[in-house]
Amino acid sequence: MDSHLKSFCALFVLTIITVLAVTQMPVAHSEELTVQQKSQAFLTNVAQLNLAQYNIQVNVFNYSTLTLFNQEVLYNLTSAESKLTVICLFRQGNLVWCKLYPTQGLPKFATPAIDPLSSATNVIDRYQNFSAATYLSPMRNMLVNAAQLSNITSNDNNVIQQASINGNTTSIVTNTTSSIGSISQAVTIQGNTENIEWTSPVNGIENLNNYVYLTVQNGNFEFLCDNWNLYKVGSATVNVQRDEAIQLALQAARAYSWTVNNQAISNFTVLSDPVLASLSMHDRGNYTLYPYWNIMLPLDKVYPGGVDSIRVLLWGDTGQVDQIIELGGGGAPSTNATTSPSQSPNEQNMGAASSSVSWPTIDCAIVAALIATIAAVSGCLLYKRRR
Amino acid sequence: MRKPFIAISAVLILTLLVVALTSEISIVKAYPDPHWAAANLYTTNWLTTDQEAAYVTDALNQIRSNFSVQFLYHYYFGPYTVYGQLTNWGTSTTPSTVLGQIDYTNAHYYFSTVLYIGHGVDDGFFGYASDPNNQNVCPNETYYYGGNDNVLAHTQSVPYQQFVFNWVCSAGDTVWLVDNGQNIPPPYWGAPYDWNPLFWAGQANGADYCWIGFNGSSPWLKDIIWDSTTNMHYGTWLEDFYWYALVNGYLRTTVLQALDMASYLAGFPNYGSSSLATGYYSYWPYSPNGTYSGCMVIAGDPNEYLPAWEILFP
Repeated sequence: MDSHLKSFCALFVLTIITVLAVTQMPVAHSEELTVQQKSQAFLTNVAQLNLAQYNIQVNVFNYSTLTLFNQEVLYNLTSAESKLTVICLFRQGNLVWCKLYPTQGLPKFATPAIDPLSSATNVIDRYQNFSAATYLSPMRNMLVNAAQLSNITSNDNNVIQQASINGNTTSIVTNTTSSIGSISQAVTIQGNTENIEWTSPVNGIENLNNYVYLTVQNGNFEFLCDNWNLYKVGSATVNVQRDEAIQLALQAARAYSWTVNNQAISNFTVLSDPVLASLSMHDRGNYTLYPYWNIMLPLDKVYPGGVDSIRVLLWGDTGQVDQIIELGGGGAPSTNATTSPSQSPNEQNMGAASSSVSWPTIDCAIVAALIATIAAVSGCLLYKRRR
Repeated sequence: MRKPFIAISAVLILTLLVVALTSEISIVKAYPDPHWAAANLYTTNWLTTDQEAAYVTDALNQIRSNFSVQFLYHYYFGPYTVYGQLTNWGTSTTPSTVLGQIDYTNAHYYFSTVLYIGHGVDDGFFGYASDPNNQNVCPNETYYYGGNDNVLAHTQSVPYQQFVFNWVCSAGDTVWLVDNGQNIPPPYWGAPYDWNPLFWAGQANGADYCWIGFNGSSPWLKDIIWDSTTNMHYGTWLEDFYWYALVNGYLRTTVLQALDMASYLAGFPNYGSSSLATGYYSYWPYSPNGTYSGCMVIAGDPNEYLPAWEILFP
């Protein structure tokens, strides 16, 4: 074989090896490297997956317009006995969501499975070490109390706990006041699955927006979502009390109309009894919470479109009506509705995520350019040497 | 001697480009058949209010758009669409349309997916109504079972309907119905038994399909999701589900992962903790009107995924 051809063959082999080595490296962006390292640390130290027993393929993706999460780290873990996918979501560099998706066999953990409540307590301990979040400590203490499965417990720490068993499902609800404010904990154990949710009532008002949610499956980690600091509280002051809120809702409902087959329905009678009214914290925009009344007003009969009640949603601090919804029937979208079918829901929720994803080809293009340069330079050098 | 060097260098560069560009993209070894996947979207115009119809139309158009941007990049033939058949039948859907498409896709496609948004009863669902505003003029029904035109007969022998989303009432009911004091047993209920044959002999385990439906009532797409903190509508949730399953599909996003993401965007930790899975109430304005409970059910393997864009090698 011609010596130059041999040189080329050798160069080709070396280049292929280089390509494979480079493309198997973690994604190169420094920010993505950080979230990748964080997710790997979470899987090792919190979930306690035994990553050493897996072949690991990892990708990092960006979502530039989403606020709920803006980065995703996707793991494909394979071994002879077990395959699973792991998704970790990050918000501003903080891991907020992680779930294991086994597709073959059971995930390999570094530690043996233990009873669900003890396992959950240990996960929270490890997660606290991982995140250094101070709000996890009182949650952990509540979980320890729940492990006692006492029917109703009340103590000096203002802990109220209630346990119930329905079929094969055990539910334990605990409310406490701690250094970080009120915390409500709900533990549900069904078979080998344990779900624990901590929420944060504000000024006695239900708040399901900020929460930590943990799932333990077969005594091992399966899922964690930490939205504890997702929303900030704009105000928890209720300036519009229940009776006033109902009066405002009645006024708004009586001035409301809906359409059926292009015919406006406005001549209807709203009853003031029975009325259902509930108060909770709700996002007014920019992830900021305010008191929010949800009021259901009955009508005296069923009207065209099958409408027999009106739902009025109004702000508890200002009394401003946010939405009016006729229940059960048709009509055009509410003029006060925050969303309508004419708007693309994906535009509101996903934003331009589809076009903002950091496609793998970006990293590959860098590698390709590098290799192409090496090949071109080598070709020129060999050509000159030949001459 | 200059030409061989240039030629070898060019081959080298092209080879490396291909290797680098495909190194992190899922690669499937498959025969390059353009008739690979089919997606059919259906709905009905019967007992559907203007507002609900607007939400359904919007959702189907958006979902169809998500299907349409999936491409196969073949090393030799170049790009072509993953979904060789992609039809939004809308309210023109008839029973014969549905059954005909099942047969057609069984014969011509390796993968078929269906989304049907409409009404279901104990033994089927409804297509186009000649008088949609008249509650007394019932359109023809596509039966899940029985007779000569049922879904079961068209799917049982060739199970190529790998992902079916039946957004209709009662399609997943596997519990006994108590009707006027009479207990009606579950074999007469539910699409899992029929459209995708969960209970077929030898099919219950290791299913290579996924079916999603509802026990009890299916919610209106125009309604705000029960217990959602975001005031999101069910229609938005459905669009988000398909967006994540398809547009994000180069990750090979599974059905369960897409369910989780859509539910997370709706304000729940994940699908399992959402009111879709745990239960909700929905109002039925037509006779007999009332508020009915329901929940979403999944049959088969939720780790299945919808084909999205791929690169094919011989």
